[in-house]
Amino acid sequence: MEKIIGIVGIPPLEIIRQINEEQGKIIDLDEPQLPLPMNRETHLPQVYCAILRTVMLNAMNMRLDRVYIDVGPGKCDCALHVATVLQNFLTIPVITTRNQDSEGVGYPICRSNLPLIEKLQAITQGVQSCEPSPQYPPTVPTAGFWGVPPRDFALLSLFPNSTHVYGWTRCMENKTPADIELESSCNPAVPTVFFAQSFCAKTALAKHLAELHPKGLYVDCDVNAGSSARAKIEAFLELSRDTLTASTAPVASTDNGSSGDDHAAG
Amino acid sequence: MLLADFGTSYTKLFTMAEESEPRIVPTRELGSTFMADLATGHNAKRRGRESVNELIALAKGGQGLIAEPDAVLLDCGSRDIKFIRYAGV
Repeated sequence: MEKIIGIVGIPPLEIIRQINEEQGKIIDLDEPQLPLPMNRETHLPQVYCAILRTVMLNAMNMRLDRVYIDVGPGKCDCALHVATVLQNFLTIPVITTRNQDSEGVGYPICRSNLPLIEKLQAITQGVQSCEPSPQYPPTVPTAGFWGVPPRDFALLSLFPNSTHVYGWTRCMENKTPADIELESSCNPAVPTVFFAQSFCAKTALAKHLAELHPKGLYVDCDVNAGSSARAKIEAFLELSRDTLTASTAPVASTDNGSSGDDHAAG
Repeated sequence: MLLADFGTSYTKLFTMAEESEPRIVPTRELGSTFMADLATGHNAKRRGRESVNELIALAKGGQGLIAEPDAVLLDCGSRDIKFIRYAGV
């Protein structure tokens, strides 16, 4: 009978290879898998990374045979503690890994002309395979998306197809999730949105890189991308495009006192 | 053509070619079916036949009104603060 294996973060390639060999079905627990409201998850604090709350929601409500959860430098300390919670509540094996894979396989999808949603869907799907991404012709970037795959992929619909992907998502495609140098790289010539999930440790790096970048915008969102975050990104991309020819460069922002769980702004 | 800025507390209305000054009305006094031809603000997508991102409207509208190349334009709303920084080059 087919084994159903949950993964959190990116387990080492050796683990993925083993699962593929035993023809197990991989479920990415970082992504929403069930039509359940987030408030059904009660084991973690409400003020916590929405990705890891999604992990708990999935793991507690799905039939799984075992779980691999990466807790190394390619994931985060929060995952280490979530692993403890999962080990205490689940009766199946919850196996922690520390992915230190360092042999890059390339990131053609990050530089392709696919719509940004399709890019991130393909990259997150690619985690289930040991194979590199298929080759795509690179496009000239007009925008950049730096960060992790967001909990709410609707955010990605605001970007043009010529958006290049940077940050941890690029590390995912390269199959080197702990490569901090690759994660920190971006293109200073390209207007770039630096995105992190609210309450994630990566918010510090995202904000720092956005401050260093000549055309950077820092955005963090919790469960859903609210209208303020969407308005900021939309305006940033359009005004950045305009300033390629304008002599005066407007920079737009909103501040509604929110830590990033943006709701409608008036 | 009716232009509108649908803010959380107040709505600013201006009928082109008919009015010389915008009208300001409390948003709660608008009927639920009230629509504008072109709208911006918090409820623009719901109440406008076409809508413009509120930050883009603020940036482009301000650019036409402010002569200074270096300026900060501040919009203090009831629920948030928006600002545009014009960085003169």
